[in-house]
Amino acid sequence: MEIIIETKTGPLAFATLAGETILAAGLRQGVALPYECATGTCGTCRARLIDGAIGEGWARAPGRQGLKAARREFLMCQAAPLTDCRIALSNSMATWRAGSERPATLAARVDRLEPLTHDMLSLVLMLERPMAFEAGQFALLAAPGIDGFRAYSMANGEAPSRRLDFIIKCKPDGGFSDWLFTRARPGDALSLFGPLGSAVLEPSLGHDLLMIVGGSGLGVALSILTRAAGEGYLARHRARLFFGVRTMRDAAALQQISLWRERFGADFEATVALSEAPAAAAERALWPRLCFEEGMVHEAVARRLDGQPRNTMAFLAGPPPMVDAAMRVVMLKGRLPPSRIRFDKFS
Amino acid sequence: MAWKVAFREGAIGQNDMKEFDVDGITVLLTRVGDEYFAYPPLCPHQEEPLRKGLCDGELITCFKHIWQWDLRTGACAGTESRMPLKMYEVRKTAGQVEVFLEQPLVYEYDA
Repeated sequence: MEIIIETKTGPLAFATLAGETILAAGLRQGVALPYECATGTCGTCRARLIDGAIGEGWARAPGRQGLKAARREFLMCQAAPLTDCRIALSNSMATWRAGSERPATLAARVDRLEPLTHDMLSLVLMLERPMAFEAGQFALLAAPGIDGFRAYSMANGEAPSRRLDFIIKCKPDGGFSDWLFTRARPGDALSLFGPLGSAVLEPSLGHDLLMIVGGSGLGVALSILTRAAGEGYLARHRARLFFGVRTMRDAAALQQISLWRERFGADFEATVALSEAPAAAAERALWPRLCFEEGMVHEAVARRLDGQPRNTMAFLAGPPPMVDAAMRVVMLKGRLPPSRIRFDKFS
Repeated sequence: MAWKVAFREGAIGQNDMKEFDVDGITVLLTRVGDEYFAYPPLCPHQEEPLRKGLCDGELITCFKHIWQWDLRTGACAGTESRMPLKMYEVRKTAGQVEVFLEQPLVYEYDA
């Protein structure tokens, strides 16, 4: 099908493949359509249907709430065209960051599945061919027989790579995570669309890094730290990681974090904030290089942030309330301007 | 078409942002010192409730995309915002905070 987008500077046309959403088709062909979650939640990819017919996709997508039926608004991340369509964007066109990869649909196989904690697992996928991505980006995953795509951030940092690591949290009623936790086996086929997202590490900007993550948002920090460590970035810049968990049984990847601490010394600080039960003395003794704090992760940041961090980029990733609370702290206490805050809300 | 009583002075705390129903119109109010300011409740960008964001005494910040405005003038601040905040006139009379309401201020979300 052909999609024509009416813009102030004239029409813009691209084609879609059978079953492909308008958003995926545009992004794949380098059209910088506005989006954030790409999975029906945020509403950023709203557009108006001027002419034509679409299949609307996920009927209960939360991002549908703000749509105006009278204007024939729909979500480009959900809509697959049934005929040629003429549309107009509700939000302005994004800009394609120089050097960032166009996303593509790739075949993948489950390479490894390992429990990380009682409710998170590490998923390693092997792609049909290497994919370039920036640290902090995500991909959409679809499993055979399960409707729709789920968004997960890459947790590894080497790129381009055929291997992609993800941290998956088991969600109640989550069809995809349920499949991964109970039925998926190495060798199983998946479909992947990526890379996506703009909350990324840009090494050329040369900032110190302040990472505040919770739950499976840890993957974003692991990706950024892996990339930064690999490029020698941490020899020139400081990095601080605040990892929020409920109890020690939620604290994954401490081994890796501790190794970075050993390697980078005072230039890398890692704090685990425990909101429900403090770390026992024996647990602290096990990880002498890590700091442990009681309370919510944003409270730990507020306590440990010494004045206004200079030349710093903050990365916030995790559940939306955690990200909002962390945003308050970095703006009020850290006085970071919006251009120095990148965030990814996992909902 | 008139000044309407919104609330008693002191009914909101410093730097709070709170929605009030004033004659059927939802108004977002903030307080800085003894001054009060009133706005439509939603972000001009993507209709996010501004009360979920941040008021720091100088700026209002929407947490959806970190758009920021000067809370006294509604003018764009920071690096992200592309549209100013609309504002209602506010005055204090005899311990009451009043808002001038003609009709709800709205944004053209499809502009």
